[in-house]
Amino acid sequence: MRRTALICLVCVGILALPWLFFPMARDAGAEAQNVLKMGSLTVLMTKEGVEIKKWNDLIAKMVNEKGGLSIGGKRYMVEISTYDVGYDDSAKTLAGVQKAIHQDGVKYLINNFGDHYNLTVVHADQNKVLDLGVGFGNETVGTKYQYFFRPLGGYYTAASNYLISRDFVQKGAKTSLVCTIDTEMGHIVAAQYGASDAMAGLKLLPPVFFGMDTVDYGPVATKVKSLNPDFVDFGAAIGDQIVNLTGALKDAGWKGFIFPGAAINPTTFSNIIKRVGSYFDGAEMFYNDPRGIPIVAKDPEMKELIDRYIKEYGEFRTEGCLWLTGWFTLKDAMMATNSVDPTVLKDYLAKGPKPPLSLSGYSQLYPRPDIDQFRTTDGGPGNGRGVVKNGKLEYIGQITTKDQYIATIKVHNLVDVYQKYWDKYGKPKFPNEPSVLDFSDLTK
Amino acid sequence: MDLALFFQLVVNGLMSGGIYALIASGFTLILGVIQVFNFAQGQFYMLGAYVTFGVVTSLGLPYPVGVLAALAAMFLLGVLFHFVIVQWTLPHGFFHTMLVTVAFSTMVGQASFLTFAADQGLVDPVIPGTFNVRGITLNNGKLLVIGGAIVVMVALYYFMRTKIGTAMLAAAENKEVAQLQGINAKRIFWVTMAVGSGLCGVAGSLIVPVLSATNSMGMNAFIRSMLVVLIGGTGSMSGALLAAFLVGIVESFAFQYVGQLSLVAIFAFAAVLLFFRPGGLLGKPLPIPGQ
Repeated sequence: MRRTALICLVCVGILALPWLFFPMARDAGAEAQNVLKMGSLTVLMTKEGVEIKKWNDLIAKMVNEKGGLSIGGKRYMVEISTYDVGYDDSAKTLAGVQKAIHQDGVKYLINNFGDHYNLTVVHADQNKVLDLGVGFGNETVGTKYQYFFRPLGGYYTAASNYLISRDFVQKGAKTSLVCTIDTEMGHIVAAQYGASDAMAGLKLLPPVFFGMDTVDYGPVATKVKSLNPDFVDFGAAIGDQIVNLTGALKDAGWKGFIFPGAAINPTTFSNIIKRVGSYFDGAEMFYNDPRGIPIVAKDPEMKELIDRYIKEYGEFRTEGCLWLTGWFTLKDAMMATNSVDPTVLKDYLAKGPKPPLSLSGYSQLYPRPDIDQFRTTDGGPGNGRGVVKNGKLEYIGQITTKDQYIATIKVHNLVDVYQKYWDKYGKPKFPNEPSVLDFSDLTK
Repeated sequence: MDLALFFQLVVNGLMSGGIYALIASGFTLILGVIQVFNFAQGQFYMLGAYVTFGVVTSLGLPYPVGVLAALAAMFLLGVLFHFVIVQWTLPHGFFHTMLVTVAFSTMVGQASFLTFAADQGLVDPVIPGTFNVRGITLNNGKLLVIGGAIVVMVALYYFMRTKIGTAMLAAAENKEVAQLQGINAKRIFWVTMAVGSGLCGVAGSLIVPVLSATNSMGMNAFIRSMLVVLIGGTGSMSGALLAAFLVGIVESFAFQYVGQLSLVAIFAFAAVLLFFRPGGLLGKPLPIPGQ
């Protein structure tokens, strides 16, 4: 009996050996084929997530058709796996990031959207996986993590709101109100956007928060109207919330300027027009169609990418365009360092890398002296700005990474803190593109 | 308080109440007759909205066809739901059946995520514009919802007085005795499930010109309609209608003065009311298994 049990145990052990060594064997194979394994954590129940996956597949296909990336004398094929992690869903993010790192051998996380980024950062850092992600707040870009950078950060974005608010001030707006979702992100965004509105000269009214489970937006609109703002900023509201809130504001008889938030996509836009028609004329928002952003449209690499997208998928959709900065940042870092080693790349990124151009404009990494982070970990993403005219969104200018940097410092009253940093390390060098703001604006 | 604001809040509450009443109508019918606490009710409402959206937007058919399509589709789904799932768990009791409806609701929710992805459905307004009276505004589409809710409730009231409606009430009262009187309780049960589900489909189709259809709309609305049914009284149509408008008005005033705590205010209102009237405004207390 004992002999039989021993034989069974040995058999099980032999059978288990390949499983134990499988990851190493697979990694060795990947190395031999020179494959760069990249992961993208997105939300496939959103238009943005679906579009990001399409771009991920297309980028990998285009790079590989040309024989891969030539780095340090070797050619590397690119593999970008897209993982569905739900919207701000910690359980799904954990499952996704663990599968990516431990099962699929991913060494770089790029083009993330909607992941529970605080969790992604922890696992990426522990495993020395370069994470070029997104997010708000200070913790992830502080000194705690070495492998996280956010080219699409939410901190250096004050110009996005500031320039829009400034336009409304010039058109006669005097007061503003942030009406957004009652979540942690909603409150962070309300504080940030509110500060930008104030910088533009608007008097801030108390923010109005509504639940994610709101069924009828009539009471929300009535409350907004009773506070009588000239300008309503939807902050972190998304999709149907934006449509229903706009509709309710129109029904309530409120008239004024609208910034519908950062998360508006073409489907949401067309639903708003369907619901409220010309009421939405005059609203300003981000303009995410690279074909209409001059600095992007004239770039040969971007043009090739856009043309190929249309050839592969037909109708051009803009939902994914904003979220691809991670890829361009990573590719430029590999080319600049001639290395694919995440440790080498993170050291390069931490020292003020050359800003890459993406489908929404230039995005530059900056340090955060306000939280004693002197490595360049936090990005100021540029993007287009548009106004609604006759039910259509028209490009009116670029919000540059320089605008984002300067406006953010001014909004947070951090000129003194940054001045000390500049005295020691110098001011950042921005991409060559016309900006609205300059360092002289910090003292005005 | 400004008088115009006061009346606007009342009107807002009535409008929200109209939405809740429509969803609650099917829920209270099923709870009252079959005594199934149907957690999937909100999903029937969401699917109804998407069916109407698909028929009107993708097929280009008129809106009334979309409403009929939603009614028919949810009626049939209700029949399937009853025969494939509910009828097998009914003999095992109230909680077994409730858990199965939770599972079904989750499955439908996940399937809709996969099917509709991020599609927000919105059809063109049926009656565009708003109606203004002395500074108080009413959305025409929402007026249609209130009208629809009242019509549905009145129709259900009279339906329950027809032969089949009386049979439903008899089967609800005592299945065995009803069967001895020649009532086919099994048939009554699936008809109830089908009608209750169909009503939710109609609710979804009436909403979709006013509020855009999304994957999460079913569960959001279900929470409020569940409160409406409990406050109104199990199985009571008039109670549900009254409770729906009360919940809408409480929520409207609460949002104006305590903001995002308005849902807490509704639950507090329900808790106080049910403490003094466990059977709700016009109904009976929920059956407690084993008692």
